[in-house]
Amino acid sequence: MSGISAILTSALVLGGLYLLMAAGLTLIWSTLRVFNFGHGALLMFGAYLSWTLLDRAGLPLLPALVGGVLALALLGVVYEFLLVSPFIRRPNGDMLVMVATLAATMLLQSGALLLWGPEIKQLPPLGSARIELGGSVVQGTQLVTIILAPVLVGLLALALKRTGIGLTVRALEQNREHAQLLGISPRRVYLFVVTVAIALAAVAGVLLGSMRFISPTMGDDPLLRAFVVLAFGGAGSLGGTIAGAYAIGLLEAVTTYYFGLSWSPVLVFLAMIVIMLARPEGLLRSQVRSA
Amino acid sequence: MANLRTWAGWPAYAIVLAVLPLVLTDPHSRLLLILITMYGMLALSWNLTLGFAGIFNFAQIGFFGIGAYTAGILATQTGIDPWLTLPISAVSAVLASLVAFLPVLRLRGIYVGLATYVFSQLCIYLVLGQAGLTGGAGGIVGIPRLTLGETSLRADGRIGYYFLGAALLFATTLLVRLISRSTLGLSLLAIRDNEALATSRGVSRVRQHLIIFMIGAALAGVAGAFNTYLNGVVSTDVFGFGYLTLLLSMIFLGGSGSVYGPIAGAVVVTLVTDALQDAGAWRDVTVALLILVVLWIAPKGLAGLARRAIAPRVKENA
Repeated sequence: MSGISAILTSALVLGGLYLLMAAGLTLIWSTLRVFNFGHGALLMFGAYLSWTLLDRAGLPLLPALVGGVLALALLGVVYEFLLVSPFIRRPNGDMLVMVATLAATMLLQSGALLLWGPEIKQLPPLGSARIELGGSVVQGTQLVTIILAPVLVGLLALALKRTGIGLTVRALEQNREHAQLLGISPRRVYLFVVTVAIALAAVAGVLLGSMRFISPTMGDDPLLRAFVVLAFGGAGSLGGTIAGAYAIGLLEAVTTYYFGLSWSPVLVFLAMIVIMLARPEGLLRSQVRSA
Repeated sequence: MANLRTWAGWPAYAIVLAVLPLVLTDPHSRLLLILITMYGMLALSWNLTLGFAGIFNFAQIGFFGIGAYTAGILATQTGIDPWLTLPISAVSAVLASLVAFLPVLRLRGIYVGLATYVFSQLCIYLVLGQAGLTGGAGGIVGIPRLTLGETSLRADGRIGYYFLGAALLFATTLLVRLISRSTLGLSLLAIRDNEALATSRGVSRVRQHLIIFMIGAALAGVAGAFNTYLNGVVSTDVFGFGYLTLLLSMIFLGGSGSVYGPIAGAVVVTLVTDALQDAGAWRDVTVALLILVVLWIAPKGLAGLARRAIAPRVKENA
């Protein structure tokens, strides 16, 4: 019994983290048709920025975390101007953006090493609330992750459905030429999308930095899992991404519990390859479309 | 006459490769030359899929690592002649490329990038998981050196390794050049630039892509085995982010899609990273900025710049 509840808790926590990462990647992919390889490095940078505001600037916990996320969103504006918009209209633009964002990963990781040094850092636990669920205890940051991730992504989905800018994002997703005919400027939408996606990555970074540690390479693993989520849910559909993130979280929790930490990633990636072969458009894509 | 002019560069290339180590005799310059030959070979082999075929192939670093581990395992755990492990590494990399190719069958563009990148990462987990065979996180140490008769290739400032690397680089360059002008090379360009038209003219995308994938993997496997004998150790670093970004910067600095660009990229990036050897993280910052600046101002790389410099003259002739 406690085994099952431990697996479920860990699935919800992991799923929430992957959701924050993958939702941003999906949003960028569906509107800009490019892939941001630097998402993991941005997650890491968000965690470091929050740590700096908390530990060096001495801000209280909540303002420091929010400040870190906002600071990274600002960096997202620069990121879009320097790495995405110069390439997106060129022939072969998707490959250029991919290489440019890979270079950005290298820049951010070595930049973090220079700015913050090699010692591992950590953010304090977020809150002291604890809940007992069937024999296993969920507390602090884990609890925050379980609640915050779906709420934020739910808000994003709502914003895409209801607000003016959300409408323009969806218009661009569906038919770029037509949207431009209606006077929608892609550049402004791109900026909005990249900033929101990067802010979500920063939230994931803060949560991860409090649950585990902050290091220059802390974003690599979450980025890889977000790949798998995209393959699973079909990149470009937010519904598929939500389902995919929790499915991968569950798969990872189950395989870790039964096969151990070193085999779990192998099994998760194998699942991804099989899914990509059987259903290249994503396992859940068609159901989401028809729903 | 045109044919003569086209091929006149090759003996000159061979002579330059042969003379360089006689001019640069100190051990450090020799090592740099060896690294240039290895990186040049790797960058050329990767550019076959990435540049010519336009496949988002990020598994090349995996093929390199598999070649390196094949040589390391065979040389330490069996009594096989180390020279034989070079072709065997090519074979095992080709076998791995068949697995990595599976996603290319049905996926396109960016998805291939995701799947092949995951393939390379998967190699790390498999190596760490099979610690009995691969030494796990500690890697394989004490790999016997290559020898020719009684002489180690390490003798005289690693001169033997240089000539082996130079021969491999020369052969790879020749192969890439031949492929680029062959039906295979032309059909790859056709598929990359207009797939619908190419398929309607009877070109099979899967077949051509599989062939170029396997050729690229074989070359990377040999380069991996070469790296193993050069260093005497193998660790999971060979699958790592370091090699990936280094090689990508060589290809894009030199010019993806050009035959000789990646070699120029290998020379420049190897020299720059060596000059910044003691700069720690600043070295990576510099290489990353180098990639970005090249992408911003010269998306076709050094090869594109060179072509632009020659272009006015060509126009006059026409």
